[in-house]
Amino acid sequence: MPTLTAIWNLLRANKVRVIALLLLVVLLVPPPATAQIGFLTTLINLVSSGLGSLNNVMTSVNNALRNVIGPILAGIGSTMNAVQQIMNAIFDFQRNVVYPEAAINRARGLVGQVMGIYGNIRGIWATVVQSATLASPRSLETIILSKNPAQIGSVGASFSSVYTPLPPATEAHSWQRDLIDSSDAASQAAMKRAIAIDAIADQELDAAEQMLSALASTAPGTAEMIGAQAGAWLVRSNAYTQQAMAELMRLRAVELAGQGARIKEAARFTRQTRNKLTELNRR
Amino acid sequence: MTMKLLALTLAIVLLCGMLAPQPAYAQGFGGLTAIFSAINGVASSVLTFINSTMRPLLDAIRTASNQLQTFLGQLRNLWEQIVWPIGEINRIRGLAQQLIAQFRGRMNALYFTGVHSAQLPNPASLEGIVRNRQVNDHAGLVLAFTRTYGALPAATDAHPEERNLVDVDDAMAINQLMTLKQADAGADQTLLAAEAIEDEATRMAPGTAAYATAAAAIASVQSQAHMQKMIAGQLRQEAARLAHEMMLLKRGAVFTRESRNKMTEMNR
Repeated sequence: MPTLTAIWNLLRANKVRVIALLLLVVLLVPPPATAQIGFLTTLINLVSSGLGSLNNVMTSVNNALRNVIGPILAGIGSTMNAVQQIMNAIFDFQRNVVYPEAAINRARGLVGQVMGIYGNIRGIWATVVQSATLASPRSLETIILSKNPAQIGSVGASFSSVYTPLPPATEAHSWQRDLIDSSDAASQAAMKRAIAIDAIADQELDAAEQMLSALASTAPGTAEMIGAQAGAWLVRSNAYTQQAMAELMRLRAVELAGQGARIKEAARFTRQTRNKLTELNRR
Repeated sequence: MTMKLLALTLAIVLLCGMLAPQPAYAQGFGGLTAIFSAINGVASSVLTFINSTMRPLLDAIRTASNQLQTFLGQLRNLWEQIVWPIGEINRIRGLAQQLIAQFRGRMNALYFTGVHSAQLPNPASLEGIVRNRQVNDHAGLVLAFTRTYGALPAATDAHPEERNLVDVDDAMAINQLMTLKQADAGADQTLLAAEAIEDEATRMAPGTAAYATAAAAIASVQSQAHMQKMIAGQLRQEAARLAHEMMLLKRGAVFTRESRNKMTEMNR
């Protein structure tokens, strides 16, 4: 108790100083707690307002995505599913009906089979057919069966050694010499043409074998391209056949002309004989 | 005096306290607002992008995908209903089977019809060899030919030129007969190739028909080549025949000259 009394007395004696001290403390002490609560409230209100606004915008975005973009994407998805189904059906159709792998392999097998058959045929045509026994005929036969165009130049000499040369003017009448020369020329030309045709045929067979080899391993989509090439070769081949036929027809024409010439010559000979006999009778 | 100074100081301090600026926390709220505004602006831009850019693009994609679906549907119908209808594929395979059943046996019977006609042993033997479709009996052919048409005259029996003529005539004839045997054997093989292609036609797919078409075209080229070889043989034979006729004329000229010379000598 004496202590409290002493303190009271002291405060009373310095009341102005105490008041000044209190005022100073009030001013210098940090702001009251009530001020922090106000900041937080403002902050919360501000954030709440901002988030609300943001929420509204995001809701609009969400609505736009859900109600506008969503149906469009759903429609696209549905369409793409249908597209995929159609594509699958088309693919299955192509794979199972148009281009089945088994059928492709079978077709390639067929090409191999055809190659084998034509290989046999080529072997058949390669068998020896030479039959002459005497030297000159054998030489001529060798040349005209050679299938070698380089031998064409040797036909003339070999032909003459078998069929004898054109008779000199002193031994045969001029019409006879013309006939013989024309006919021998046609014969030699035909023999030369036969050599060339044999060589052409072999070249065609080589080309055909190459095309068959390519066909045996080609894709279904490119087989038709080889078919087109073969078609072109067929046209070309027809031209060679036509040339050979033309040579044959030419030969026949010359032969027929020769037969006619002999009849004409016989008529001329008959007339001359008759004239001479008439002259003899007159004498 | 001291008291008055103290009171004045306190009054100034109080006034300063009352007039001093507000704390700085108000500036922190302003930044937050700006951030929210920026986010809000971005979100608004996203919304604008969705409505103004994304939506038209997706609409265009949807339109294009619808068109693609329509196109593919039409393509599928075209292929399945018009280009390669399964019913038609089967009908054509059936046609191949029908053609084989209807014609193959009949054609083969006609193709293999026997035409042998010789009666005597030598001609019959020659005919048998000529028509046996074999190519490995050249010696037998020469023997049968010689038995039927006679051998080359001995050097003492004929003029050398005539022997050459006979020999080359026989050779050309035998060559041609041999060529025809090759052609017969080749034709048999060609028919096998044709039948292989026909058989494949009964089960081929539309996409593999090109193989058979190409194989048939190439086989046709090969057949043409063999026909050309036959024509070449015919050319050789015809040329030999014409040359033979001319040879007779030449021989006649020689014979005439020799006769004339002998008659002249006899007259002397």
